[in-house]
Amino acid sequence: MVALDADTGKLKWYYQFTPHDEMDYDSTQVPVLADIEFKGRMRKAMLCANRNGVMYVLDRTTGEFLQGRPFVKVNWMDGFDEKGRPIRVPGKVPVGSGGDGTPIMPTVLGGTNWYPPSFSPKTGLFYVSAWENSKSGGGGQRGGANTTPMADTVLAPNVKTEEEGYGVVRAFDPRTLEKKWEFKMNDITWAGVLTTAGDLVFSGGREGYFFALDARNGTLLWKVALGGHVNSGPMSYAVNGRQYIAVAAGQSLFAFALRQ
Amino acid sequence: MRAARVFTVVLTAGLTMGGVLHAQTVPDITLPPGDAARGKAIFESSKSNCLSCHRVNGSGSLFGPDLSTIGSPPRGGGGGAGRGGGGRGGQAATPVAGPTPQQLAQSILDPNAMVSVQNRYVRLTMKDGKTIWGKLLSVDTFAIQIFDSNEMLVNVPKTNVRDMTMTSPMPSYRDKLTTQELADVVVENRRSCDLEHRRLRRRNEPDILGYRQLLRPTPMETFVSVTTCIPIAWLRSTPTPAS
Repeated sequence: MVALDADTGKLKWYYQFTPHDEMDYDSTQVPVLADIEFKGRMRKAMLCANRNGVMYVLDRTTGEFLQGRPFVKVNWMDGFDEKGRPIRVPGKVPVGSGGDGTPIMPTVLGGTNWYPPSFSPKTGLFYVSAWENSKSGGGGQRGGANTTPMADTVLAPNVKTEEEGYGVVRAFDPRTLEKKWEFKMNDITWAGVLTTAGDLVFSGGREGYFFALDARNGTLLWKVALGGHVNSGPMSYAVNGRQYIAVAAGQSLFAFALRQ
Repeated sequence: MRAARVFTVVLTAGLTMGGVLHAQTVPDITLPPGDAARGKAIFESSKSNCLSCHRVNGSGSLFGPDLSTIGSPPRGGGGGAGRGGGGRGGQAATPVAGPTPQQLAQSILDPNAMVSVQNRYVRLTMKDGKTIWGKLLSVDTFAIQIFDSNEMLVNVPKTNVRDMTMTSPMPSYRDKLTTQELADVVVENRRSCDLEHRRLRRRNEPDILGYRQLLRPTPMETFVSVTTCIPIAWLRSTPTPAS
């Protein structure tokens, strides 16, 4: 993560999520800006749910590491040193880099990835689409096993067990990084998350459902089957005062609104 | 009636065989030389009742795995996931051998010992107390799709299900077959499989997966193609075998 001066392009600060990364945890996930209270004072924070399975809170003005915590099962690191650098677990690298050959969690495809998370100033919660129980290597089932590439959009059967990986929308309190609720799916998900001022969370997944959850507690409020993967981030807009929610699924774009 | 039958019949080795699992386990089972004719008689007998759940070369039930090509010779594209299985696309899998006689025997003695992903069966305990067995076709957040013991495609809302257990409906045959009978059945399985391969080669059809199954889709392919209108060919995680 780098912060650049928008006028000059000069580097203001940087933070490296996975130093000496042999696991291919590219940090192309969407950072979210939030002003939150941290240890008794308000901070201009940057919330990052990283592909490496760890969630971070940085001070966006200085790049200071405030806190980090796994949001899915992670076994390549075990905590942080005093500078916010991850403490690596010996052997948890790919075999070609000297690893012990046991599965590495999360999968190379990430605990989350490029699909956007969301923060609601109303609830104060940070919402993330995640892959749980995913792993790479070691001969075990991978997070993407029995799935199709992310570029595909048509539905496919899923017979994975929960132990072999599943998709989930999770809500976290960015002040503590405690999980507040979760909505589990059977298949993994490439869908982003949108939260609205009406305390709704919209997301979907590879099962072809698009759904709305109660942003406060994760209760399912509405769902629709769109006939193709929801591999995108939902968006909200208004036309003549009427609010719409749009999402791409399969090879189509869908827009929804309340009945008038 | 068919549902009750599932508990009493013998589903033979194909239930648990498939994909890359073949090469992973070598059971410590010693088999005497088998006799295919005796094995065929056992396989088709009312004592074993194998064909009431399994299908071999066009005969038998569709509920259990088709055993026509069980015990197959080495083949390519055995369902490997490729790197990460998803994001990088499917790499051609390393050719894998079919199950060994010992692995076939293990699947008859212990049907849950080694279950391939494409042959997962579930027992659904419904909230009204009923039990449904089926081959798992797909499960999502809200429903379970199975090919049930009546050979029907069924969509079961999860709200009606109290418990789902992933387990084989095939009983162990450990106390029902002698070691010699076990060896005979294994030899017959491999012999009939060899016949199927020869027949396919005569017709210049690819082994195991490909055009033949496009013309005769499995229940899963039929179900998904009907419900989602996607080409059956796409469903194959295994690339079309090279000519």
